[in-house]
Amino acid sequence: MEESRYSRQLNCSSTFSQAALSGATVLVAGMGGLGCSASMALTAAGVGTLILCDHDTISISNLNRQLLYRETDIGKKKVNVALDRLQEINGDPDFIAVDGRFNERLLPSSVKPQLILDCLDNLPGRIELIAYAVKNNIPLVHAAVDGFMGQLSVFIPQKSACPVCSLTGDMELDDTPIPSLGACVAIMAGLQATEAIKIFTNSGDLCINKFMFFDGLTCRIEIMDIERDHNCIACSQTHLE
Amino acid sequence: MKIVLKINGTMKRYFPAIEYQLSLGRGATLADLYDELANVAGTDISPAVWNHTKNRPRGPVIMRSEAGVLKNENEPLYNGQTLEFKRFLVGG
Repeated sequence: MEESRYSRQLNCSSTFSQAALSGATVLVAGMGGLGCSASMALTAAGVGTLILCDHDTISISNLNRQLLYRETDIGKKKVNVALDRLQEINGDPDFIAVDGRFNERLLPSSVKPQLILDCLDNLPGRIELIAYAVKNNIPLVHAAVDGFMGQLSVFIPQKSACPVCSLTGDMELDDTPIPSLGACVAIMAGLQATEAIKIFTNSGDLCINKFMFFDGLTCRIEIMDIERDHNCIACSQTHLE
Repeated sequence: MKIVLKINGTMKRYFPAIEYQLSLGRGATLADLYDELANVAGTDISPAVWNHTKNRPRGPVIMRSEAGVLKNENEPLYNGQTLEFKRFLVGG
């Protein structure tokens, strides 16, 4: 049965291992636009366990980009609806719903994620998630979106630059909602899921120590090299201590 | 000295121009560049990305040149340098 379900992806790379994917545990932090599309891709690919974390309920303005949700779901908890829909996509993976803003204490002690997908929508939460990744030595795949644009980076604790290492300026943002387009969100979530699958199957080169910037307005992808900041407010040991 | 500042990515939505040729004194730093940018572009920069009281970017940004990322405001600039200024995205 597994061969027929996953047979089209088995030759994606010379090192591709469905068993490695089936044994993987991924924490998806944030079940908004990125979290919906990335978790759909990982579920369809047969990742073993997905931990879905979000505190929010579904609203009408989510539906342009959060592809797991329907009009009839408005007012329901995102993690509960996402869990049901993902089980419909593929019955193989195990799903764990964590209802709350990301916090290490909310995670089940019995399951430790091997990889984190940073699908959050705010900087303080992303910084906290990176700190959790460092503390527990878990790789993290970061993506973020704004309108037609997106960014991606893979962070390996103690070894590579985190997404916050290159930032300057204050961390204060105004409250204006960030423009978000479902098609662009799906592109970035697809790249995020691709990096996750590459990590578990030892395929290709990861987006480490670099940012990939996608600009849908100009049809350009730009790669920017980044370096570790040993005083980074998110990933440095100095900060964590 | 002359510095070219390119406004890139989503930052373009918030600036009246996408490129600035800035004249700074010898030994100028990133802090001096911010001050000069405020002089040149002034209140035409959206307050969504610019703190007009402090004359500094609002929210996390990436400032880089051929030599790499500039994080420190005391970082010295050099004549003929081209800087790229973009907003760090946070939406999910």
